[in-house]
Amino acid sequence: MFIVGLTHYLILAAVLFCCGVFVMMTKRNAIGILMGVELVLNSVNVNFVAFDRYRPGGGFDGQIAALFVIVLAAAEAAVAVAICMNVYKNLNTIDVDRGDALHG
Amino acid sequence: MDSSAVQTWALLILLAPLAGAIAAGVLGPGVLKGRSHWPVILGVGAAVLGAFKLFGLVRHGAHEGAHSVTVVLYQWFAAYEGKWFNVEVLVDPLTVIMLLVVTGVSLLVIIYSRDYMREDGQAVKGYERFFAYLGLFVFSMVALVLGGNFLLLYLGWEAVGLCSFLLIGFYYDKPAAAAAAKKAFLVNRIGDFGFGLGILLIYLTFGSLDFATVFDMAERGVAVSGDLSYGRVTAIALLLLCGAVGKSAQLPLHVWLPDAMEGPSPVSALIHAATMVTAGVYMIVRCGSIFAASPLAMTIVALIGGLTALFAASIALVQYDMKRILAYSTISQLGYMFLGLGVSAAGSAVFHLYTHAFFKALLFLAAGSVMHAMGGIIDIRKFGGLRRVLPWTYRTMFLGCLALAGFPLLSGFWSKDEIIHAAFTQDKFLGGLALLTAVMTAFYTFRMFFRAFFGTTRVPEGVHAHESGLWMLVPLFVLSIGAVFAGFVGVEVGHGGMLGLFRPHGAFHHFLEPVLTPFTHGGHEAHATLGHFQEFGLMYASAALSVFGIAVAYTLYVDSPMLAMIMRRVFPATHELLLNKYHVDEGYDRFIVRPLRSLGRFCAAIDEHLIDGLVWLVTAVPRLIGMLLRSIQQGSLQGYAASMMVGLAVLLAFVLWGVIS
Amino acid sequence: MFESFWRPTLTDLYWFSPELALVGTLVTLLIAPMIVGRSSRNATWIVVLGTLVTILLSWKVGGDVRSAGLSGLAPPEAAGMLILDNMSVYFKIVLMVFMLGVALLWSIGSAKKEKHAEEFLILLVGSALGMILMAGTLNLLMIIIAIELASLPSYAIVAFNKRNRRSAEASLKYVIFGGISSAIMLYGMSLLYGLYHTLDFARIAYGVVADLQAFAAVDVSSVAQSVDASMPAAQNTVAIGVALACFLAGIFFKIAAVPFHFWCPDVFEGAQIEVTTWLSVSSKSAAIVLLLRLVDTFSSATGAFPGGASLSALTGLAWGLGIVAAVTCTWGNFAAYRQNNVKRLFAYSSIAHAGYMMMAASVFVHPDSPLDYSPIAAVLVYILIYVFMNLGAFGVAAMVVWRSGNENIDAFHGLGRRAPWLAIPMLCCLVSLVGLPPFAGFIGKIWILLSLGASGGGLYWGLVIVAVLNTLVSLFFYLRIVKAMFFVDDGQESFTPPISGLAMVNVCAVVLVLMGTLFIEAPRRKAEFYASNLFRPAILKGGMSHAENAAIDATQGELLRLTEGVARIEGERNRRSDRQAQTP
Repeated sequence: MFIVGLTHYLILAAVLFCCGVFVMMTKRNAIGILMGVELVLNSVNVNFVAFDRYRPGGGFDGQIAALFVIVLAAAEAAVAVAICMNVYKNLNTIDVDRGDALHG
Repeated sequence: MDSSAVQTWALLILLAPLAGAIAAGVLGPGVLKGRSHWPVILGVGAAVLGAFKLFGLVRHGAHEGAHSVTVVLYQWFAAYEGKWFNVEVLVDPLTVIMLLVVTGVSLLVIIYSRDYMREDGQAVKGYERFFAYLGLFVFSMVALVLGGNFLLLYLGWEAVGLCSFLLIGFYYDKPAAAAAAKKAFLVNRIGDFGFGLGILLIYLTFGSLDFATVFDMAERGVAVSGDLSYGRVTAIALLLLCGAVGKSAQLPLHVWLPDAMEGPSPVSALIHAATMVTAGVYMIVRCGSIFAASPLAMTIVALIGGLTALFAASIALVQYDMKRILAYSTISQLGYMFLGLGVSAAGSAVFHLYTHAFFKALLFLAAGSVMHAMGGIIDIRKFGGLRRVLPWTYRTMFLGCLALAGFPLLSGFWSKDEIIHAAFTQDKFLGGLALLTAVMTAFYTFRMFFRAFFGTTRVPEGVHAHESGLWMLVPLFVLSIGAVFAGFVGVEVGHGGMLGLFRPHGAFHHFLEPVLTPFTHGGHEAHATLGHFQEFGLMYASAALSVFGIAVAYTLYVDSPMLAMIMRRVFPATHELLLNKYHVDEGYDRFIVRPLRSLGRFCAAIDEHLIDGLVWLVTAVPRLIGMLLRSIQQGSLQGYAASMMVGLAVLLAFVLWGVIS
Repeated sequence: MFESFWRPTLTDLYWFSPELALVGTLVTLLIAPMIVGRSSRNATWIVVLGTLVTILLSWKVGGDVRSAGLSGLAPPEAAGMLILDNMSVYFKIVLMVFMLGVALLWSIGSAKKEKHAEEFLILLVGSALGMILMAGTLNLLMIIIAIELASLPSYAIVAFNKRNRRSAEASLKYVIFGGISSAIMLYGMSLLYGLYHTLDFARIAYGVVADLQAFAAVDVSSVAQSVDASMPAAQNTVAIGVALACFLAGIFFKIAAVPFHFWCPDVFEGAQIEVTTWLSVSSKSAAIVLLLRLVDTFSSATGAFPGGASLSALTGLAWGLGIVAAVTCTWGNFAAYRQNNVKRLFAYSSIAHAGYMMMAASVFVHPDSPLDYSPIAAVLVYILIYVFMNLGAFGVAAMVVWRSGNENIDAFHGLGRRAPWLAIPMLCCLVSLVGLPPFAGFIGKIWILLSLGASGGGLYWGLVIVAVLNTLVSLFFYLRIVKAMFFVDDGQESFTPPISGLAMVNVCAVVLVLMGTLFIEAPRRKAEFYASNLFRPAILKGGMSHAENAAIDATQGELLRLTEGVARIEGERNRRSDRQAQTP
């Protein structure tokens, strides 16, 4: 019988992580990149919770960490979206490669 | 001695003038304006108080047999483990005497400057700057005197040089003043270079710069690596002497001091007569154990001193600029002090330093008063008979001149006589130099005095001559009291001796004695070996010579002025030579300055064509890299993210490599 | 069941009163507008007051904590979330002084233009709180919370000038890179948690060292007990590598180390100059202090093994850090070469300086081998000096930029004539930034170089050479500003800057001179003391004897006596009852 073990969770998290990084690297849209960030954060959450569940002796640390990560992600998203709106007001786009006034 | 009390008062002496200077400098332009002298007067006043307090402490300590105390204010930095350079003060009789002289004269000069630096009641341009510099000078000078190791001594040494430079060039829009400031700075650099090397050599030889350690080792004749060789100690002494010669304007580095008279008169009185120029003497006394260990160095000190005294006095015979006469006189008197040091009569040298501070500061301030009254003119050919116009200046200057001339019973007499005596005991030639100089001193002093104050009253055209106000006169009074009576602290009264009343080596010398042990160990036991006539005959002789010099001046310049004209005609070459100061400046110009300048031009040409090209080449590399790096940062967010990931990968590779290997 | 939970006493809270004071300031700032009305002036006063209280409390707590240090807000046997030791107190004070300077700069600059903009200060205090927490923790969760707390207000503060295109672009870049890097860092953390089942970095470091030792086939008997055998060491090493690399990437982002620095010049250029000033020192130094703590924890972990594990297991980490430091320093200096925008130039300059600090931070030394010059102490002194250099230089730059509306170097033309009391402190700061005597920058650099030299080893001597060459390179671009100030004059009119701004920059210059001349040793000796008394968790004191334990208990007892009697009695009663509750 196939039993879902720690390894599988880790693979899932790693896949999520890679997807997130890939999205971050390729998306032009700022919101898209933020979604990539969220993917990575979710891979982190999967990791934390899975490690916690399979930890010898049990415990809560990982789950608490996951909760905090969710909150942090939300806060970050709030700030990031506000900034995106501000950018949109000024530049009429949130394409990240359109903002290249600052360079060198 | 109570070292915590010493620390408190030493800190007060150090910080009060500095605080005054900062207050004058910061608040001066905006807030205080014409009142900028107040913070400095208060600061230096507090320093005077502190100096007296320290004097009391040291005297008290002397009774208990503790002559000196070193207080570490704080540890400064470590050369290597366990080897600290400290900010420390050394307080002993020598320090205290120097402190009293420095702060006392400074206070009087600063008070005097309040009126001097005004024209028609209005503060001159840069008034606050002037007082800030003066405060800074006092701080640097007391730091020099208090410093407990060679590093602090050197820092103070350079700082007073800097203040001197700033104050000589105070009227910086006057080309002569700017040139004089530059000259003073450059000539001092030559001396200070040697001084710096000397300190380096001290560190290499003794492995320390603390006065206590160095002098103790020098007295015991040991160095870090075995015994202290005669050659090494002589080299150190001569390098230190080099610095002293520069700072105290001795031959052959005396050329800057007469030019320095371009600065305001109070500056000349304070820095270039009473205090800074005596730093060289102070330093040699302080380093007595090093100098005393090398008879050769001592002989050279004596020779330089004797020759400088005579040489400068002879130039002063024919000068017309009142302040320049006084400047040459200062050089000459400093020569006396060096002579005294060289013949192991360090106590007499310090005594002369002390009396000289009074009468020379007095003379400069009085000359300043004349200059102030004459609208900035100081050439004694252009005015005369001022005794009726400037009665108080006249009286005080008379006392100053008498003291300088070595008139019996005045302060200058006692100290100068001691040096002449010591010189004779050591070497007849040096004694002769000193005696000859004494006559000349009396003559040129009164030549200047008679020409300025006697004869028919003449003032330059368009000048409304007036006596100075109280701000200027009070310091003159105080200093003239000093000029007359200051000498008695160094004389034992009522124990036989001259006129059956005055015997040299009084309380002053006893107070100083503990500091001067290295010199007295040299075997200078003059008083025990000479008979009464030999001992006091010289005293009578020098008194007589002084009176003789004054009499000659009176004859030539008051009684029959024609005689002076005739003399000038009869010896035109001599007169010319003296008037042009033996052509030393021209000689330096021809043989040193101009060749150097051509060398400089040659180097400049090389610099322009070769080095600049090289520099361009060198900087071209970073420029190129800089451009490259700039082009990497294109502003595109995606690109940044990609580079970050690459970076992460590289970092990962590194950590893994480290982990696996 | 609640009986068995540990509860903080007043004493425990007292140790973290500076943080609480800062939180109080933050809350007051939020509430005050409702009571006294919106006004930048009032807000500035609140911040000044709050900062002063924080400094005073830090001072007090720092005096009471003595040398031991403690890990706070946790039962005595557990590792706490926050650490209180001399280093964290020191950083608090330094950062608060710097924040005062920034608040002052803001109040004479942008606050004049916008009368009601106290949100700036709220964001400023918020990020400061995050940075303070960053410097005082060894818990992964706390680290990430602190970093986010420091970052989120920073993102917003960069976008504070809402109608400015460049500002908007800068904040976008900042928030996105910040998000990416913290996400990656979190991934690394989750792996570390998985490997060692704890969020306490001390235990993690211990485990990492144990694994590396095991992998290097060094016979360490205690490995088997300390590390769970479910993952063989050989597999662990790869995971450790990935985890540490990801974890460090997040810290490097905050430091703006190459190649995680790209945000830095763009953000610095786009933000208001006060914000640039703030970010240039605070985020970097907080991250550096964190890095110092992490490196020190690794070093101490090697000492926890009986017989002493060798540091060679950490060679890869040391080389990684060292090379990143060298590249960062070099990149910063070279890229600054061709910059015309002053803010951008200083951005690269700050990258380079972070590189110098990282060099010393990359030194792994055995905790039992006291060096003549401790690298941690060198960095701590450097941070202090760097605060004054940057505050002075940015202060002058800000006043010049506000005056001319021009951010390029030509705004400085003829400053020596136009505003000598700006030009002179600027000269001092620039020469100090180059690292030449008689200014403090020289001393700071000397301590770093000496500590590198004292640590020995090829890597560190290489770093010394790189640092010296870099100093040479940096000379040229700093002197461009000096040249513009004193040797080029295109006849712009002179001006009188605000008096408080003048006072600030001149005080900075005076401090730099004093620290470069009279007060050379004292800061270093203090810092050395702080460095030698870093809080090191009990697990890292492996060979600790009974006597030492007793000594520590005694110190803590002494600490307790220092606080109020009531609190003490109450606290001890609680503690006792807790222990009793736990024993069965």
